[in-house]
Amino acid sequence: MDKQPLKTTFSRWRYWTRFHLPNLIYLLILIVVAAGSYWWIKKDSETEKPAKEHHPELADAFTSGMQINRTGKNGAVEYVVTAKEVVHFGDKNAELKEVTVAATPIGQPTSTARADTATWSDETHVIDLKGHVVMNRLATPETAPLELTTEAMTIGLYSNIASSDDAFVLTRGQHDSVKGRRFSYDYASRDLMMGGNTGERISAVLQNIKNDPTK
Amino acid sequence: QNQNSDRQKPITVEADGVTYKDITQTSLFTGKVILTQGSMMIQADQMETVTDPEGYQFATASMTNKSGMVKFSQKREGSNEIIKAQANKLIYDGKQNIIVLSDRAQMQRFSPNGKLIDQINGDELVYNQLTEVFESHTLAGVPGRTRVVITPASKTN
Repeated sequence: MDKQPLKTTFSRWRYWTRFHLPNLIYLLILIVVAAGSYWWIKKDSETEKPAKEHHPELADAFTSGMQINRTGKNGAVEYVVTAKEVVHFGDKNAELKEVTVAATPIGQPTSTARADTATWSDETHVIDLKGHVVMNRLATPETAPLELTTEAMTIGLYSNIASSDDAFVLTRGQHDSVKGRRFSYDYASRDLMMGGNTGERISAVLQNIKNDPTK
Repeated sequence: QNQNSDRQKPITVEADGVTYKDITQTSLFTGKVILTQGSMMIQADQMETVTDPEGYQFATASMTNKSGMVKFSQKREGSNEIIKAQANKLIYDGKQNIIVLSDRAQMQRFSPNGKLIDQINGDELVYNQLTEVFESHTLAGVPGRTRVVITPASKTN
């Protein structure tokens, strides 16, 4: 017996519930999640204190007669920084007047640098000394005292390097001296590199003690 | 001793750069290094100077490029003759006031008007600045000989 063909009628409602309703449900879920998280953040931010107004150009702290002992990783004092006056600015820099920076590397003699002014950056951990910069390394039983003078010098508190691109004069004991431009002094190894690619020559004077008229 | 002699004068060193090792008191000068002390002059690519605990200066001059030679020159006291020397390596000993030239060493003596008087070649030449005497040594195991050329003084001198 022939099968009667199935009579299908197209139901718009069934089509919609089959193909569009799931998307609508997804959309509603997303809207609920978005609204919830917005409410959550809004709630949190309302309880936060208003951020302090940022004015790097304004001094936000000052002191006089400052001494700061800065320790190294092993806890030993690595630098002692003193200043007659200090003004701190909102951009994390402090301006110091009549400054001394004493480096006290373990097992090595103290080297003290003095200058008219300095800028200490919290961010880079560097102290830029300016004006009549004089660095002295104390004498040791084997070596005469060392003195280095220049107009500007940078001390890296993390790198332990004192360096300058300025003209300098180095004296060792009474007679020996070196003049030139640019130097880099490593506090730990006590190696001092001078000159090189500055277009200027290094000039040294060494006294042979045998010929020292004062001896 | 002649007060104006070279040895009374301070040593000056000129160079492009120098690394000073404070712990060992040594300085390594680099870049067209010129050491002078009165009329004495030493020229080299690099020179290491050392100050011993008593304060005497020692210097070792050498070349970084193999083609060049360390050069030494000095006026002899009293006679104005010029001593010129060269070698691959030169050592200045400020305590004994001697100059040691080694490795293809050569010394020449010139009259005040620039005429070559004598010349000596050897493996190692030692010049004593106090006695102004040159000695030539052959180094053990190094094939080489000392050769001396002495120019007879002409009738006019």
